[in-house]
Amino acid sequence: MNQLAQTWFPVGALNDFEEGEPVAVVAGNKPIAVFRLGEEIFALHDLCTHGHARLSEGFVENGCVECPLHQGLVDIRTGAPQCAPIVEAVRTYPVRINEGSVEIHVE
Amino acid sequence: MSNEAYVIVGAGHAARRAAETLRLKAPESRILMIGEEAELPYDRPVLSKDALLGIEGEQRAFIRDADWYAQQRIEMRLGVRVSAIDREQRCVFLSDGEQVGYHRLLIATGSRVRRFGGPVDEGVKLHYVRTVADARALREALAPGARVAVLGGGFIGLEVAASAVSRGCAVTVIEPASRLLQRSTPAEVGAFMLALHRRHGVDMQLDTTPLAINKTPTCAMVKTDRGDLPADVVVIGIGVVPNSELAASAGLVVDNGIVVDQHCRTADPLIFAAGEVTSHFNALLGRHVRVESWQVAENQPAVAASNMLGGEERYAEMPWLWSDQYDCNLQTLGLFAAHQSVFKRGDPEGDSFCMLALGADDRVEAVVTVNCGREVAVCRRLMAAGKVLDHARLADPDTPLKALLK
Repeated sequence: MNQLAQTWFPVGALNDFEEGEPVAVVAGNKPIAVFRLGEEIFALHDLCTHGHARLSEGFVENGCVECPLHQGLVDIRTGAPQCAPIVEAVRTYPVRINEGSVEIHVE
Repeated sequence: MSNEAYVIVGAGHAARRAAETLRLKAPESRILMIGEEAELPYDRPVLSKDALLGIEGEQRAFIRDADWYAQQRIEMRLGVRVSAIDREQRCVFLSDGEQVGYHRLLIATGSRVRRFGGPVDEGVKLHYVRTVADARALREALAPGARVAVLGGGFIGLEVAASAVSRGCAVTVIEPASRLLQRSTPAEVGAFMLALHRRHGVDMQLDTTPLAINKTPTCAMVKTDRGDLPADVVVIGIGVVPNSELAASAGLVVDNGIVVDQHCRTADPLIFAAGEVTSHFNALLGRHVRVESWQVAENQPAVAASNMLGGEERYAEMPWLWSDQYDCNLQTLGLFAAHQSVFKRGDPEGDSFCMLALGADDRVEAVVTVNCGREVAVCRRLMAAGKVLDHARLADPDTPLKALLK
């Protein structure tokens, strides 16, 4: 396997992920929160840029996740802050679905 | 002297939020902020936490920098106090002798700490945690091994205790009540926090009233009704009082804060107030409340600013606050009261639990979460929807709270 291929990490099957139920995974030594929105999967760094919170423990609604510690809002698709106290964007990771397997790209 | 300016008295979190909204909705307006401290506006939550650990933590309090205010053409008059409001002339008098006219005035003067009421020997330094200068001074004092006495077992006292422990200090908390957080949460929460702090080595002295603070040749001596406690650092965390004197002396109604309606209006149609200093009518609670929390400083000023521009917005939120101590996150939403029936979910002896208080109509009126903040998001929606909850399902640990939303 070449170096490039190794940067896509499989984290489960598409059906392992449910809408509204984010999942905490580790890929490439990074804590990542995985979200399902419809048939799509999105991956955010699993640490709020404001507090020391796990976004995978947040409440999901309207394409946003609400930080469980201080109720800031982050856009799941882009990582952009939508509501204070979060002011810095959360890192997003590219996701692909490869024959039903969800893979996350971590450099 | 022109009277075209939107003048904000105060330069804290609430003032920043009002200025942001004014600029957004009135791009051409003149906005002027007058603050007694020499600092730019900052948010206070980190002051009792990360700001006590290091300079990086302190810097996180400043949401916007000087360039931002300049770029937004928000005029900043810092280190100057507003000494009086002349409602007839529509102007404020500043401590440096200047007069500033206003088109609309917002009073966002916040709160100040309540001072220790007993006798204090000369030469004893008492620390408080309200301003960034307070946090800096306390951070300097929290040396590893220092004996720290925290007077007051409320949220600020407990957060300071946790920060001091992580700095390697030997911490004692002195609290006159028989349990912690008595005013705002059910007994189980106070018991959980007590055990948490004891586990981290804090000497928690409940039922203990501090009487005086004396000076010895080497340290301070806190005299209590249960004995003396030597301390290198004394921190007072016994609450805040609203800075409402300016409003009172201008003849505005003050009753446990500046009294405003749900539109943030005082009786003077040109003068508004927002943030912690207000006693505002909250339609969700059906009464006036003064709320000491980040939430009111964040959201109420945006409503005030819109209405200063002629809007008719209303401010009504369920009071919400958070506290972070060690790795523990506690949140309350709504207000607990004696008439409610309280349901426990999870185990207060374990790592996480929450408690929901239902009113007589079985709707959620208040919730407290310990290490399960996601439930706050659910409860906010249960409250907003006015869901009538079934006791059996609420008590069933196998029914997720989220399922009750449906």
